[in-house]
Amino acid sequence: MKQRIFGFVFVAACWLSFPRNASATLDSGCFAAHYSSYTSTDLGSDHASLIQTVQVSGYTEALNPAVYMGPQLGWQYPCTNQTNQMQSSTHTSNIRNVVGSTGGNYSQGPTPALSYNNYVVSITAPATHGTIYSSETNTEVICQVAGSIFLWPIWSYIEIAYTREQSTGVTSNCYWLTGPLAIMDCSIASETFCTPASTPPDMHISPTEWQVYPIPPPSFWDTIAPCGRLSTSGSWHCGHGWSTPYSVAIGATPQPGFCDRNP
Amino acid sequence: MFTTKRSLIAALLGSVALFLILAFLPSRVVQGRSAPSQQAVDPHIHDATPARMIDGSINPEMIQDREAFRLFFLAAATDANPMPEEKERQRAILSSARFSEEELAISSTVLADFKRQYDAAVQKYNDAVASARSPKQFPDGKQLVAELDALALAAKAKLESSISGDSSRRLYAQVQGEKSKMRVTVE
Repeated sequence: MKQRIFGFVFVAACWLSFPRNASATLDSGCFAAHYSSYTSTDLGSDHASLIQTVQVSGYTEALNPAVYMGPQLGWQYPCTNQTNQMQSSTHTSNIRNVVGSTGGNYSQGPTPALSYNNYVVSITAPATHGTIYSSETNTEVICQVAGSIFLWPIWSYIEIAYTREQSTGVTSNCYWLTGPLAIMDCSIASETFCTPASTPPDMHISPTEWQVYPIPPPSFWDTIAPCGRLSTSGSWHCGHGWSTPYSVAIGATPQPGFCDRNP
Repeated sequence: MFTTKRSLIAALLGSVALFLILAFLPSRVVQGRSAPSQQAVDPHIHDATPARMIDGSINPEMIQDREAFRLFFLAAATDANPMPEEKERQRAILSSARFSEEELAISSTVLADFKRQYDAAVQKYNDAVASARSPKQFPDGKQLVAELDALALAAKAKLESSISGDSSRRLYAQVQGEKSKMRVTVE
């Protein structure tokens, strides 16, 4: 009985004395993952394709901290065994890069677990303006022993959007181009010029930079740009667009554009 | 009964003393990290601590320019003799900067040079990792990342000295916008 009571009190006292260190060990480990990821979606030069590039790069750091274990044990390196184990294991970089029905899963490795890795995968997906395509990207680093140590999935919807713009005549940020010819560019504000059924369009980019001297700027122009959103509805966020002047025959009336509208 | 009470008091006093000893046992911190106690050292290797991440879609302003240019240039760069589709990718990625044909040719050369130096620095690091015989011999990953960032900034400076000021401004604005599509580790 005495032994039982003493045992209980001893365990209780020890339990009381440890929590302050126990929580710290959950936050400290033998390794730290240092990875970066970047996805870019751009319009192809044919204006009928989307080029999506996904990359992941980085390394796993072996921390190997020295820990003072008291006067008898002295300084110890409690992660040495794990580090040695990690040194002989491998990592694999996985990328998923899909636009519509183009692309898929790609993999690099296995590579030594503690080495630095870059992996870049680019796909070119044919795209028709006004059509919505689902986009899936994911960057993941898999450790042979620890499993997934870096993960960044993104699901989104993208389209090439078209909009006709009408100049408001308001200019800003004018500057002379460097070079032998006297050429001035300005940013010109605009408003959308679309049919009632396609108003408001998915995209409206204003201002647009045009040459104003010696060639005067257009009064109307057509713009296309890659746009994306994270859900099936909601506002679109558009990237850099390409604009071409909308020419109207002398005496003719400018016609509103059949802009892309996918609310 | 009396004996049991006395033993209990003695046990309590002993436990309090043990508690005090354990509580004030020196537990130093090395390398700025909390020192794990012997009991808590996880025998598994599954303790790759997730480093703090910056999600550019939420906090783009927290991503440093040097990191953003490193990722952007790496996505845009090709080898010295790129395939047609690689050239097309590069043109598409750089399209927001609206480079002239001459500027595109210059940027292609500068970025190929950046990629060559980048790959060489990574190879040197990986060779050092492969030849390390103990953890103390591992190369410093943070130093490698700093070197790669410096290469990106050098490529940026070289590019800016070869293209117009307007193209430089547009390139800078583009990279700032691209930060929202990046996720980086806080070094």
